[in-house]
Amino acid sequence: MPNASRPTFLRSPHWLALAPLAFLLVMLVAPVLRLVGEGLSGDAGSGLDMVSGGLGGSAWLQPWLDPYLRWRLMWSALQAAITCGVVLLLGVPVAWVLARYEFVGRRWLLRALMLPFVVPTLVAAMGVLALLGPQGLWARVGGAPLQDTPVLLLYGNVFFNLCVLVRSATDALEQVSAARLAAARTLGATPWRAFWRIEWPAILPWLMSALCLVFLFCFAGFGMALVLGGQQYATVEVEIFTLVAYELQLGAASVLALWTLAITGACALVYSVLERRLATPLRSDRIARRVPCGAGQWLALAGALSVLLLFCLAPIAAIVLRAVMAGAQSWAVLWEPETLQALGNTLRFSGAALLLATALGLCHALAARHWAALRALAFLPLVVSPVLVAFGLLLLYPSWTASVPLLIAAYALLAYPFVAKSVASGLDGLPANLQAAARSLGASPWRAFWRVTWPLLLPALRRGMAFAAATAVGEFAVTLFLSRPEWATLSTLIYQHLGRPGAANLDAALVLACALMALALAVFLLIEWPGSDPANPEGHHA
Amino acid sequence: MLELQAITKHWRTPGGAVCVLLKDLNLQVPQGQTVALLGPSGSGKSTLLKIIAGLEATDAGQVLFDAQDITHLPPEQRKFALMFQDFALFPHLDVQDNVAFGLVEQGQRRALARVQAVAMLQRFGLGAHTQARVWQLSGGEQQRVALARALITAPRLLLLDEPFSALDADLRHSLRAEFLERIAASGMAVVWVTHDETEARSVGQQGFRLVDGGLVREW
Repeated sequence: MPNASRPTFLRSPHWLALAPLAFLLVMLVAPVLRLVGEGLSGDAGSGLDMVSGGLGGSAWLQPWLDPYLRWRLMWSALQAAITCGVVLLLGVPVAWVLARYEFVGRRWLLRALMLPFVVPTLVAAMGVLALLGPQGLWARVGGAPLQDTPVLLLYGNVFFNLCVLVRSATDALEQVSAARLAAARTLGATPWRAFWRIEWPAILPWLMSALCLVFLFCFAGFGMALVLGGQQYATVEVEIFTLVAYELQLGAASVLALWTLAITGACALVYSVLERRLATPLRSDRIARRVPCGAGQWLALAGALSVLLLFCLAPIAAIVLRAVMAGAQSWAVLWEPETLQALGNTLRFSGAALLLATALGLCHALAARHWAALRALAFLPLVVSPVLVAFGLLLLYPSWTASVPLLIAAYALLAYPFVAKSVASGLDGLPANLQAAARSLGASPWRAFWRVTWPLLLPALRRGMAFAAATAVGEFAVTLFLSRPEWATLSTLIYQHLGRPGAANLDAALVLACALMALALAVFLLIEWPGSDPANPEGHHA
Repeated sequence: MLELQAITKHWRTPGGAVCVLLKDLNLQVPQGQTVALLGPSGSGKSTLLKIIAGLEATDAGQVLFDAQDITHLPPEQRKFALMFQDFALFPHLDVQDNVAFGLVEQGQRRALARVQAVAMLQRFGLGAHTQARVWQLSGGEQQRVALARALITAPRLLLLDEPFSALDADLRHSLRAEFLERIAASGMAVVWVTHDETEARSVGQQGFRLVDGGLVREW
């Protein structure tokens, strides 16, 4: 048959998949299976009995029978659903303005929308506290106290996820056919009707896909919920952490983890189905952007920018402002031996993890080029939350949990999907005939890769590495589970300061959060400098 | 001389069904001659070129060149040149490095290869663009770069896959004459794939139409 007779040099280098597959097996699949096994075993019941006061029924159903745990699960889903609703309402109009209007700084604004992806979770949580917390800017101007309300957590969720939806919706709106829209207008549709009948159906699958991700991020979120949720509004991930770290109820935690996995898995499944539907060629008859004219259009632009300012920039600005207001005394925390050690640990762990993640991501993307199932596997580490990964590792490798190699491997597990995804997209974007042209000009497969594919792939690799580095630098959940006190990173040090009483410690945490944000941003920019792609600065293809 | 003997190639549809694309196809291209291959989209013209270039494997049959069986020879060892419909110029290299690419792969020192590339580009009227990036060139200029890149290594056979389909009618006409002149000067055998019969008749000493997986001689 045709495929069987393809020459060796044209086949995908499937053997490259061995390393990432083995890594996924050891670091993710086996720990998760161990977690599932623990959850389904009878041992879980004893732990849950302690939580619930002894309820009957199957152990794995206990979280739904216990009012306290049921609330945790339902609230986790509810806050994720509310966030989806809010980002949809705010994000679609903003995206429409960004997709349809041309204005000075538009490209930079789109780039800046990547910022929440780079800001570590804990820093974002600190930003929300600096803005809306009990001693935040909102309280200082006399705003109603928001502590012990769900507002803090929901606002934090919107900060992180509004950009996900805006970017996705902007991309989708740019794919809408200009000809179809023009046809609708000539057939009598008003701009508003044309939006509902032409643009909205076209972008709906993209929105659904983005909302799946938002739900996944919010439901499985940890750092934000830990700091902003408080006792009442903490999510199921925080509950799992509490059960493991403070109450040593591994069985109960496993059952909760099982349900979390089921819900995030279902969400990821829907996401992957939607993503497959979106894999269509880009349109060439895009709608041309226009400079706003008239008060209405300028007002729309101002509104969109205000929304982005209020929900995406304000927490970052607040954290900087509060850190500056904290005074020189608080900034002295940066020179304390504990901070310098944490900085060293952050760089050491992140650097090693980045190297490992880059190697694994490259192998995965190259092997998965013509292998859809393998490509989907790269998403697994994003589906299973860091808390569950760490918990699974804790259960499976108890004697290894306080070892640097395991910690670095766990960092790499969380970071490498970014490299794999970016490189895979880069490979997809390569013009089809370049490799063949190089071969016909006398280049061997390796030489064709080295001289043609590799240089063209570098921008995508750098982009993936930048996100992987930012993820590693800001890592929090895994470090909290798996590290020793002397291996504190900047993230865990911030958390330690937050746990200590007094305004001075809060100020120190804010200064450290500011420093961590600067570090994550610097690392990101160092790798993904916002210059043009040397091979193709304007996105042209020869 | 290029000789194709009973070439067969199957094609798997997106639904998974296996169809015959090329069936017991035979062709001879004598040295110094240009053979035009005609056929509608999807008839297998480009696949046939890729089989000749070694970029696709046959399911059955043999590819011979100067009586040697090269069916399983990898493309870099065939010393043929294939010019793609979309030119396939390397966007990360400037014009001279695009043209010098094949020479470097033949083991020539990069500096020397560049000198030869610049000389070639000057002959092609592109002396002012040697250090330009390929996307900065017009369609016709890109076409000339692609031909210069194909010819600089003095290939044994030139394979052209709809070389003018991306150009407008006026440019296509003027470039065709230029191409024929340069190809004639090189004295090599050429397989020229096109769906335009006027173009095929103006370039090919022999013309074939690809019908139901086989070749039917037109002239």
